[in-house]
Amino acid sequence: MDNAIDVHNLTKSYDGFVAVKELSFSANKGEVIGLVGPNGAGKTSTLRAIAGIHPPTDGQIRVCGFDMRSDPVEAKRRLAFMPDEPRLFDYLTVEEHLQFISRVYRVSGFRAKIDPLLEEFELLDKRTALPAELSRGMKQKLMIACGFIHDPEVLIFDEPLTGLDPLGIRRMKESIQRRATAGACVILSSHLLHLVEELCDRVLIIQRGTRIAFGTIEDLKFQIAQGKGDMSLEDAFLRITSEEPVASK
Amino acid sequence: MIAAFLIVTLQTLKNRTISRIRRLKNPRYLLSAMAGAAYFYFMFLRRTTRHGKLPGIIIASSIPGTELALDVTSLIMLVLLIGAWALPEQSGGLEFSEAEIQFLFAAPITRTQILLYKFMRGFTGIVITAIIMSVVGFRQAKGIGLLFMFGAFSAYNIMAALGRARLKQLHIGALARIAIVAIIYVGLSWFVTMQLKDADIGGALTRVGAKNLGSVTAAVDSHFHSPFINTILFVPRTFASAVFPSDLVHLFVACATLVVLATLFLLIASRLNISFEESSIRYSNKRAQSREMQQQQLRGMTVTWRRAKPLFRLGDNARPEVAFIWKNTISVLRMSVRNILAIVLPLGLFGLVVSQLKLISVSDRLAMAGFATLIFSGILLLLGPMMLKNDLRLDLPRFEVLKTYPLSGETIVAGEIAAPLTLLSAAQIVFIVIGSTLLRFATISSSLQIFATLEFAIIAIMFVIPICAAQLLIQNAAVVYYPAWATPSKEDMKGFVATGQRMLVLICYLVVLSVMLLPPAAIFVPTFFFAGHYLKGTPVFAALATLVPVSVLIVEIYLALKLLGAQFESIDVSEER
Repeated sequence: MDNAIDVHNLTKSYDGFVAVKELSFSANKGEVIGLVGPNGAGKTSTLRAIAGIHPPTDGQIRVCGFDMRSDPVEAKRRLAFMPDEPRLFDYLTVEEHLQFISRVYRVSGFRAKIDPLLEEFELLDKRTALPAELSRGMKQKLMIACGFIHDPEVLIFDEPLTGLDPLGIRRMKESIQRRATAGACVILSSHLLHLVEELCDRVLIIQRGTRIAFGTIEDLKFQIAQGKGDMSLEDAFLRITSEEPVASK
Repeated sequence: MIAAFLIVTLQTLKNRTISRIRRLKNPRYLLSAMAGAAYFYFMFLRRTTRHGKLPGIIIASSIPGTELALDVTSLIMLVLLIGAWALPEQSGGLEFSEAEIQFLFAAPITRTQILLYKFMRGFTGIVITAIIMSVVGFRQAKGIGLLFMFGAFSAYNIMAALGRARLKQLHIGALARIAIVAIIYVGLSWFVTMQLKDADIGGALTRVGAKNLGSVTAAVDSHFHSPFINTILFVPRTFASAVFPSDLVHLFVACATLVVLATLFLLIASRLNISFEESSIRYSNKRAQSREMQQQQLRGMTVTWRRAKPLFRLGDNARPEVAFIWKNTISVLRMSVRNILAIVLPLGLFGLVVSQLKLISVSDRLAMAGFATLIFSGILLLLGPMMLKNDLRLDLPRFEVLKTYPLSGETIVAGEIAAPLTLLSAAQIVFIVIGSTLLRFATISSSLQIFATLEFAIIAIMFVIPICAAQLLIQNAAVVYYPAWATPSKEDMKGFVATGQRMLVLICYLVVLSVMLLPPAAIFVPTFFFAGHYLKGTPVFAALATLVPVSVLIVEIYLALKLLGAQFESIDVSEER
């Protein structure tokens, strides 16, 4: 059976600067993968390449068995990308956003799906509001609701909790877990290591565009602590990113 | 402290200049700078170097006789100096940048020092303005005079802003100030009129000729030198003397006086002791928001009619392309109402005027309305695709989102341009039909009869849609191929580099459009005569004559769409930043 995500030797460079270098990893359906690394490590570049926003300089990306280069439409149909900065259409209301996205993804019976989503993201009373009338957190929620409407098999979040209030954060975590339990593969990038620790099955740590560790949180902690007692993911992350790379799993 | 402020100001100017020069390494900026420089040279400098000044643009500098120019400028300065007290802002708010507010307002420095900083920071813009004005005219000021004049004026405006706030504290509000200023203006106008009424300026001007122009201006000028006018114009004339000095000594004296005046203005401003910090934050935020709004309006990116309903209901099984049309028609209604009104209103007004004309016959009125509608349709064909930007041009900031959609690049491009194409085509067809029909009922000369024929209407309708599509495709291609050119940053939006960039884009657009239209135009001529030879007199003739060239154009559009779609898929927006 195909993995939900298969990244093989991904390299992305901008004008000579290598942001991601020969990165490989895979993720299964129902799995939550955390992508962590210091600022400028290449997390967003990796996520954008997987989402098909920018073409990789080299390497291969497969989404549910579909190659992003040769079959981008089928690959993207199974995917939803939620960027850290919500980019909405200034002229469409909340409800119109969901209607438009539904038809772009050819969602049948989309009208029945809109209200539950608006309720889930506490946007029911904002259905006729334009993005300019929404707070940063509400825009983020709308962006994510748009990503959920076509029931994607792969969900990619870039800093999903930015701008959300405590209740919003809890709801978001529940939503992510619910979708993973339902069989979706989730990849999320975040600097909030407690979130990663709480939600993710496996963690991929990258630094300067290169993978320096990939495995379950327990494995990583054990591997980095080298048997010298217990340590948090934060301690493990700080140790691994401030030292020479240790052998990845 | 002054040294620190001076360093910040000079360093800012230096860094800005260096960054502008460095970015010329980028071909986009280099080409734009060259085009902009060429434009300014041919528009301003070449004329200036030929004639020594700029006729028709800088009125004051083109009036013979420095004295009269000096007096006219003094009058203008007087109006500005008094008018500064009638401005509505009365909170004492001065404009500061976000960083300035964050660092300066929290720093252990006095209000007077902040005012001094504000005054010195304004000098960067003043230097640039002085240089530009020296280049395009105002040579007598040697640059220095303009610098001192604007500097002193800036100090005066700071004083006036804080003065207005002090007046408000004394319960003299904006209305009272406006009334006082209006009374002063009326009084001054009356006095100047009385002084000049014996001068017979009208008669002198009718007798004006190249030879006696000097004597006329001298006669007019003499009336500006009565003791009373001299007293009123003393301060304004000091400002004007720096711009139009008769010699270097006068320039030096004027500049020295302006330094004294500027110091005095700043001293008074600091003595007014207005707590301007809070109002400055409010004022600065308001200004920043209004600038942002203006820029968005210029780019057609502001929702002006938020309650506009979608033109049609998005069907449960609608194709993605239809969803794009639905989305973009909503954007037309909510964001481009102004553009639509700018297109429709002139025609409506013209129609109203024509219908009210009683002096001409009904037939002539029909002819006028018919031709106006056809001309308007032609204008719409040329300008419509530039004005209605509700396609990829509007969605450029959301390119990353569009690229995640499970659609081919071709589908996205086609979907994006479909809405403006549909609306523009529909409007043009309506105008052609109305115009042509009106002409059929009008009595027009035989040479213009062709516009009243069914053949003309068929040919025009068959051509306008693909031509409009071709134009929209080219406009969108510019965005897809060169996104950086289509999204000028805030500092890119002004200056001669921006002018050059706009010119280059327009030239490229016209060249590509000409190349696209050349093959259909070349084919149209023989098919027109061929069809005319066999089928003249029937409407089929027009349709057949047009069919082949239009087909060629449609094939071109199809190929261009394919190419553009492929480019959209491969574009890496992140590299364009």
